[in-house]
Amino acid sequence: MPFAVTSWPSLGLGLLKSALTAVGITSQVIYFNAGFADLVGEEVYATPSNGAPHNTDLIGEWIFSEALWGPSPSRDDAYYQDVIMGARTAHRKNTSPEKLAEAWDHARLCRSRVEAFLEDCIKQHDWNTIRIVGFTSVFQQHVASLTLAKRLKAQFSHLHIVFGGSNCEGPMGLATMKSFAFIDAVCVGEGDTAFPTYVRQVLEGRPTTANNILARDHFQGCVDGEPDIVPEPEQTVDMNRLPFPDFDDFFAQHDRRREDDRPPARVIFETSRGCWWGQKNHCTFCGLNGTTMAFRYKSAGRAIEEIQYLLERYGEKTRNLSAADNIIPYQYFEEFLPKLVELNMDLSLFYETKANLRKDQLITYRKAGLSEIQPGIENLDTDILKLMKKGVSGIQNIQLLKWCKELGITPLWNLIFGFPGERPAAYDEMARRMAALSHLEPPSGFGRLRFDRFSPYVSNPASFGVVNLQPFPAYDYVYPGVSPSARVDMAYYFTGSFAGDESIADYTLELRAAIDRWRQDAEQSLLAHIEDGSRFVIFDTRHEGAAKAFSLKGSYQKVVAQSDGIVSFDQLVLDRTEREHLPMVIAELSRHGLIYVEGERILRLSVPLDSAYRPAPEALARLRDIMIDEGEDDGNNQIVKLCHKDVISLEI
Amino acid sequence: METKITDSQMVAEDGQGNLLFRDASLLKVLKMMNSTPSNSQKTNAHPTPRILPGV
Repeated sequence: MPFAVTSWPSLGLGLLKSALTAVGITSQVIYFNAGFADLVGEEVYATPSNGAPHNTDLIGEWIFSEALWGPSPSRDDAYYQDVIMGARTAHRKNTSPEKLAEAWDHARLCRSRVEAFLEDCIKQHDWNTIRIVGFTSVFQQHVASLTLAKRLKAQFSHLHIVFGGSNCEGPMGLATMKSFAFIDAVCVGEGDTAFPTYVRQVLEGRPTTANNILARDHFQGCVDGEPDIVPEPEQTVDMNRLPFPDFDDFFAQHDRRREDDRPPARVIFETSRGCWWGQKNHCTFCGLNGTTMAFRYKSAGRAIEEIQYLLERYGEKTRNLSAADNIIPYQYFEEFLPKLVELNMDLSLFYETKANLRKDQLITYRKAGLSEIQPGIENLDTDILKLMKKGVSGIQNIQLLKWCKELGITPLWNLIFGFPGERPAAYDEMARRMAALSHLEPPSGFGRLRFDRFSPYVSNPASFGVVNLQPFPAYDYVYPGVSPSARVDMAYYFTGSFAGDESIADYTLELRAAIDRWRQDAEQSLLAHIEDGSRFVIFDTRHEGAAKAFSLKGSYQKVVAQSDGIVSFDQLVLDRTEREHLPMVIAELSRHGLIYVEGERILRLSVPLDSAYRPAPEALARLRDIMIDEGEDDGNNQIVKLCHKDVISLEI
Repeated sequence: METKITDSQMVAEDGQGNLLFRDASLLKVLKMMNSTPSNSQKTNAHPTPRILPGV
């Protein structure tokens, strides 16, 4: 259902279809979201689908709320003012007026097509031949799913309606079940075994006893009461026993869409669930793993088989594969990734990963086909990263961004601010230091911390000094007919208060401006070097004005040559005289933004030209501006000259 | 031209503070202009909507 992204299939539904097929039950996966995107156009659809203006605004849920609850112009006006325009503090935002107006226009256009869409959904299929309808609900799919389910049940009372997906995990599923009488069952956990078992029981008219499934007959007809029977929780322990997902229905529908208005397709695969880091140190803001933090992963052989199967089946449609994993298993450096390198399958892979990687590990990623990664960077200040329990330092995050540039890997990352206990001055310092980083990938997302269900901030707010946790106000507008207590249980995004939070917007102003500059400058920024035995030359277009080059010799050359990876002052191999000069050398290199210093550790910031680094054309043009073509030398080698006025020589 | 770069060097000074380059990687990169997409020119949207929208 809307507003799932239309460029890739649902992994959950692909797995369930395979599981049902294995026990002889016929099913079809219908991508109604693509139908809605066709109605409004992919560009318009992408606004709510991408969570604009903010995920916490729930604009996709608002679009369908009128169809679920009935029209209420006053409620819509209040939603617009309180949520979109940010009259309520929790929804205050820095989005430009143009972007806000565009998002609102798109949302209203979407809403104007909801009734036609729902009629199409009902008309397109012969519901009399169907026994069970299951809705998967993740991100902003809940209200659209509830709306269609309600209408289907009203018109076809024989239909058995089941909900699942991460919006139904734990208390959210129970609250959904209690609040919407037209739902017959909710899967409140992993459905790999539970759902086929349940479907079999329903089809055979037997009592329903599947684990993880909360069924209507568990309530004995009492909608508002608590269930008499609470299903046993169950998790898939042996990931190797999962079937290969069946995405045939997705690609059949994707192929039928207008070629000029459909996004390129990707295939989703899964090699693990849970988080091996979170098992030891749960990052304080992370609610991604819900009740299933326990880390489980497929063997290397099984994971490779799945990728090969997916390529065999869908490889002609796309070579882009995205792992649904919340973190790549660290064990995969031993066998899985080397095997991918060996197989050389012409892939473009995406994985989420921890950020404290060694360079050889990143090289393995690249050789294995990982072209995009989402390292959990989140911040660049080590003290704030400690507050989050990220297990990584600021300088390590920058090291990763630099190596990604060198290796041709795109790192997608967020910068999150507003953590309880953070030092406000850290953000001004971060903003100041960002000027030296503009040749690296800027953050894709930049936003204030929100409190997500299942995160330590929500499960144990007192230990962080967080009080007054409550759902974002947007929930009031998309679930007006749900009791306040059920609304709390259905919510995933929460607001809360803590000491000092009133000044967050002020003390991050400089940071916001610095990130804007970084994003603007990224395409014209270059910091790259060449090295021969005689010197280290670094080309620099990061700043306004003409490009320049640094010619480093002596101690300067030694320090930058040894700091491709993070190195402590003590680890630098220097003779006695060079060590005496070290404080001055480091100060000077830092002043020019050629190294990043954190405590007594340094990192060279430039990227070797002789690498997979591909500076943007604007950056190269700026560099070219200061290069003078000198023709060929006696040996027919082309020579270029850099005039002394464009060179800063550092030597000691 | 009369170069002051010896065969073992990629870079040399010409005596007036100017730098002379005979570095294949530098020239390769300079010639690459307008021919290769940069690392940061992404063609595909992020596959999971976990990225915070820009504010």
